[in-house]
Amino acid sequence: MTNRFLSTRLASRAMRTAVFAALALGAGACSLDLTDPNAPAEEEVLNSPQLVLTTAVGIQAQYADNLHLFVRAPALVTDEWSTKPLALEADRSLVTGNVDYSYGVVSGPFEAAYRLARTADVLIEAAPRVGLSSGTQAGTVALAHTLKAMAIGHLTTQYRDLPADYDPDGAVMLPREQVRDTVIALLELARATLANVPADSLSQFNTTVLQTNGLNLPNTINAMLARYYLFDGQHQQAIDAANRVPQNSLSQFLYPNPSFNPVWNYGLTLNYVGTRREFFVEARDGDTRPAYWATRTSGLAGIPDSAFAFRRYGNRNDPFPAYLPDEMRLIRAEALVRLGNLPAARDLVNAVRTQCSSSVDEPLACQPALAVTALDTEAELMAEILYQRRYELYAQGVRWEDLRRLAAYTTEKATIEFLPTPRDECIRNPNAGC
Amino acid sequence: MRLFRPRRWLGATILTLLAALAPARAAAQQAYTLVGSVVDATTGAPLADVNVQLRQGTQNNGPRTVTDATGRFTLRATVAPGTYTLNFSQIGRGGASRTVTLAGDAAVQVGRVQLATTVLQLEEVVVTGTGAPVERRELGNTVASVSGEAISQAPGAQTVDQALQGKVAGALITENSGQPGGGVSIRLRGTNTILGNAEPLIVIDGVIINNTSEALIGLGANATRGNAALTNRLSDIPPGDIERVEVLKGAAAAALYGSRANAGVIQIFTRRGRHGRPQVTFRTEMQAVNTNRRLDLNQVPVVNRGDVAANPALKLGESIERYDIQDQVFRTGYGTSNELSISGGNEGTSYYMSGQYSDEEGVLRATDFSRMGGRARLTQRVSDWLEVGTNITYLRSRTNLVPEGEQTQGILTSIIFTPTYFNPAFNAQTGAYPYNPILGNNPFDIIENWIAQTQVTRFLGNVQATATPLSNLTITYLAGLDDGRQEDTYLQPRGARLNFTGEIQNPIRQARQLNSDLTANYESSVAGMGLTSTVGMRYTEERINTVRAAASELAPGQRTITGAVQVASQGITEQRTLGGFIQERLDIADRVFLTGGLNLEGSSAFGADARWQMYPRISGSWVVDEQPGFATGPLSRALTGLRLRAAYGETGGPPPGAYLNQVTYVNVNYGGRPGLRPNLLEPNLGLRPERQREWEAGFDASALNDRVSLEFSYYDKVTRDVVLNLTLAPTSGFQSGFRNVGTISNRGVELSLNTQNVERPGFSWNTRLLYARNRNSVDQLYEGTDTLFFPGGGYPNAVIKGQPIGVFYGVTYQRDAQGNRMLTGVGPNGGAVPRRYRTCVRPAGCPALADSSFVQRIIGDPNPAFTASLQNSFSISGLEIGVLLDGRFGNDVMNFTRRSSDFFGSSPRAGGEAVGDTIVGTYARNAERNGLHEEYVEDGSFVKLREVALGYRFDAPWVRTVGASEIGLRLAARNLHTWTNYSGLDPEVNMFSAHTVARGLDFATTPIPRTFVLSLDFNF
Repeated sequence: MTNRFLSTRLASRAMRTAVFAALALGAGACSLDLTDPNAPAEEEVLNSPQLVLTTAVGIQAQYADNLHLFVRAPALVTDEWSTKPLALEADRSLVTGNVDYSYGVVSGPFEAAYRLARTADVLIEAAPRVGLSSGTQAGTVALAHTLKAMAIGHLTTQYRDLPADYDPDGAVMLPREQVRDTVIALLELARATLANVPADSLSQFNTTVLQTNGLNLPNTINAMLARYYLFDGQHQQAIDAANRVPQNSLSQFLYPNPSFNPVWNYGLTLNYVGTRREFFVEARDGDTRPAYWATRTSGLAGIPDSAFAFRRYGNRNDPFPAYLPDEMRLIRAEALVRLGNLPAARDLVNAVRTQCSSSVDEPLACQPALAVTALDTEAELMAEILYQRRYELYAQGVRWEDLRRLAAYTTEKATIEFLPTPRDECIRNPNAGC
Repeated sequence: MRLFRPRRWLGATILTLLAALAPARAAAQQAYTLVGSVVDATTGAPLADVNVQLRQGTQNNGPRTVTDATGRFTLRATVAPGTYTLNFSQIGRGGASRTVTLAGDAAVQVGRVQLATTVLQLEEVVVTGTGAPVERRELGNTVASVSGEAISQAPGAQTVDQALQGKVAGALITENSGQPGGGVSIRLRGTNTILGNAEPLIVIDGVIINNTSEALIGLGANATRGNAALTNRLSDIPPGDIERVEVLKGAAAAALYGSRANAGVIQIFTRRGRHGRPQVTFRTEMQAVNTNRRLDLNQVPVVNRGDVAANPALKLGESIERYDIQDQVFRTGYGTSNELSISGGNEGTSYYMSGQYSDEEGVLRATDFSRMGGRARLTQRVSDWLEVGTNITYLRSRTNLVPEGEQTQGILTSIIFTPTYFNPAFNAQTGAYPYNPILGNNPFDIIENWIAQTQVTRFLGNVQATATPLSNLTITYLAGLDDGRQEDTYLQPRGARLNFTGEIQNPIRQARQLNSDLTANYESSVAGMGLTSTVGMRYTEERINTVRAAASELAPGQRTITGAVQVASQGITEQRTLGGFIQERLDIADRVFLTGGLNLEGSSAFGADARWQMYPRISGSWVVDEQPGFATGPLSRALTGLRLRAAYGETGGPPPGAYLNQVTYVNVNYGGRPGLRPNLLEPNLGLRPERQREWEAGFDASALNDRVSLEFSYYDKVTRDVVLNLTLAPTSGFQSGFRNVGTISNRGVELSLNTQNVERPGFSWNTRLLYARNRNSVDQLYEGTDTLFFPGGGYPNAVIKGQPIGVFYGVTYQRDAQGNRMLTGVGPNGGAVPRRYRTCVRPAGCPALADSSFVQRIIGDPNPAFTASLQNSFSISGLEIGVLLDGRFGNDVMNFTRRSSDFFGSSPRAGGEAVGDTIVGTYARNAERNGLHEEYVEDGSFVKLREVALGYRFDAPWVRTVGASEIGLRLAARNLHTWTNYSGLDPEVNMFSAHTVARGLDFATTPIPRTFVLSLDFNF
């Protein structure tokens, strides 16, 4: 009886073959985790100081390049912008109030804000663990919080219900007042982050990431705090925050080539929108601010909804302000009215009215001060504040909220109350509740 | 946490392998030597490469050998004395068996064995892609096979896939354009994907090769549409080198190919050397191609609206000279092809060497295709248990094409876009071709001065080692490589159009595909049943590097990217898969066969949470006619052979991108500085392959002494988890993501009827009828989306829930309540203009402009209702005659050629308007008609006389005076005639080439020419 398997010769052959072949195969077998070689992977970004800072530069573009999405609806549903003949049906629908939830004007702000929110979280997670100096790290984290707050802050003025943060698994819709609290919390967090480090430790971050003449982070944080505390009815906090913003400071988004100002592009290159005729017609005699913002073309006069070319963003490289200095005076004035301090409010309103020069590029009313009698009631003051806000903060994305907040003092109405929840949100987010 | 780690898996495989070695066997044994020879039953010619195996009962692990070039074999066996069966089989041919009794004598003479080719071919041996070859009757699934003869003798077929047209039931093989160099698309049992690759996997000698059809330059469809090329990479493989092709049509057959087999698998086996003295064959072929089909052009010498639109100085109704330049654009193209091969071998070594060169002109001037290559295959027996071999091929091909299709640069496109008063002839005074007065270019300028070229260099190679440490254990290791480079050039010279400063694109794609396979096959028997166990592993790696360089503002005469304004970009894709499979085949009483298998495979393209996928298969075959009592039973009165079979299997389809499972960052610029932001594509960590489940069942029956046979199969294929790119909720932080959401089903029947009508000395006549019917349906898309357009941009092909993939969804006629078209502008001679159906008409019906839109409906389907082919083969005293008819029925074609020629005024109908045939504006410049998709849907059914061939082999003594042993002469033609009601040039073509969804679109696409071939082959 011969047992073939036990034949040593054969067994060793089998072993040899198997081992040989297995080695040949094993040599080729590699990991199945491959990363895209064409672009840095997120994993790489999260672990590289250089890429974290490059992303900190990039998140500003995510805000700056999408600014028109944040200011478009508030400008078109109110009396700020009108559509030109080439305009998209969606833009027109904001003017007529016949807006459909599938339109890009409805989803655009959502998309821009929540995508930015995700990047912000990446920065907030990565900055502390890649070995950055305390100043650069604080700057990065504060910038991420601030831009996220600014983007979602815009949404709180345009949608009745919205999520407080991005969530790929189905974000939960909250009332906008609640989300505004989150916005404020993010801004306070940003302020606290910066307060923890000496100011001069931020100089490198300021010049390389924020860049000269670009965003002024502390001022922007305080300005946004002032804005959203005011919207939230926390008037003393609004005054305190506004007081922390120096009067002649400017904080802005930059558009050197190859970038371009998206509002300029929307109005002057794509030729979709322009300044509504009423913006000129309803300005008081001698108020030069309409001409600061736009150029009134005689040829188009007479057509009710003529759209005039933007002047403030007349060139592709013109910067866009994160806030305008006089917004702080007007926030304080309004908060003071609400707190019952009418004389102090009046002084601030007149300061805005009478300003004829500035060391920074801002609209100047250069009008005589109003008499005490013209501004001695809450209604008079509020109406005047609303007027001043209209001409100082033209197309900054706050007009819609202003008309809502100060509805008692004006007959002007937005064409729609809020933007609907975007269609893709309704379909794809099980928690959208629509 | 990963489910499987490669090394652990490797260890498990080795253990399994060793465990399989365990069964011990005992017997009193003696050494025998069996000798004999095998010949063809019909011709008496010796047959090489016939497998000879000694078997007892159902044991299939006995010793084996193969016949040499003279048909002789010597089989040495150490077995116990007894009665054995000696089985003879050859891949692609029938089998035979002899009973031998081994007793005292060590030398056993078996004698001459005849091997026949039966119509049913149940004993035909097929490879199935998994280790050991197997007889067809043992398989529960269908494997279609086509012999090398049928392929190399397909007249005028430049590519393997052209040669397969009409020969495989259930394979819809479409030549997308009549330009040279392929451009064929293959659908096996319907389309199973939307974004993935619908073309089958191509495997050559066990090596998976690259068969990408993605265009590097946009010649048919605009490059922005993610288009497919006019050529395909299967065209690199010379058909003459092919010994046989096997087609696995679905998951039931292809499960062991795992994650890439959803579209089926085409296995190609190349020729090998045979034991014996050197065999030299030389084949030379001359061919001519032409087409007698021409576009109908306006020859009415009166100015029409189209003319005026091109040249406002012209006045309607004035007389004007007309030109038709088609005879200077089309031509009869000539070509030659030469192949030389030498093969031979001895006991330990066999070799096959071949060289090939062909150069063939296309039917359009300036187009041609040339290919050269060489191949060497060598097998060496190292010891009695180890054989090693290598097979290397080097190929080069060059195709000169011209743009066509929707490209305004296209030659035929320019002809239909241009009013026929335009004379494009060379202007000797300006020294240039005149500018086209309207859209498009000067066709002569394109022919003379433009370059649209594809050059491919390709190395295909493998090394193989086969060990048989035990007579019933075979271990095979195969490492294969496909390393190719494709260089395209697309030059539009300066001055091709008014104010055009020239443009050149020189993209280069390097594709490397590597696979490494280890397979072990163990044969044993348990309780009287034969067992064949197979264990295997496969590792594959693919890398594609595409570098695109382009320049504009060219200097006159410039042909490379120098000077000028330069743009370059690069993209790299890498993918890896690793898998292991196990398969068990059970042979019960040599008439019931069961096969079960499992394939576990992981791919780098799957999400990390779905990395490992399992693909099972199971099949059964019952050879009823071998059942005891069949011969005396009632069935035997009607049937001489009967087999029932059924199979189930699952496969996968790779996601439509290698990196959809990860987030990458893209460049943005802020404040003049480089920044980064995350890509807008959500990574899908759960991304799975598109998963196909197919079951099929059928029977093979033969009657009248096996002279009539019928094969029937029904299949049901459902592909779930079809990947689509979904727009996501804006709050996800991403724009879109690829998700496994869709479901596509294909169900159908395939029928093959073979008859030996006449079989007598000096005359035989065989007929084969193939019929296939497939019903495709998109069963599931995703919530909120019922219709997706591919590629969009005004083309009506759509993916619609509940409809076949690619249906035409377009603007329809306005009809009255009775369904009659509502016409406007009835003229004196009956001219009338149909209207597009609108939801409402302003100002009365619609409140706003936006509310008025065109009503779109399903207006056609490019998928055929059924396909059929009929092959008749005659043999009259050595004269071989073959006639193949290939038909497609019930498919619609969108005739965009007619649309544009009517609109631009170059059609006879537009000419007729000018002389009062119908009211002016019925055709020329009629935007209403131009936008009316329904107007251009036509029945695209056709029958083509695909192949006609006459062959004769001379082996008379005079042949030897030229040094040959045999000379073959063939006269053949391809696509000689087309029967169709389609009004355009060719209903088979498709502007979008191999596009998955966009099919059945004829837009100034080159018709498929007739090819005439005269070939001579010499055997020395």
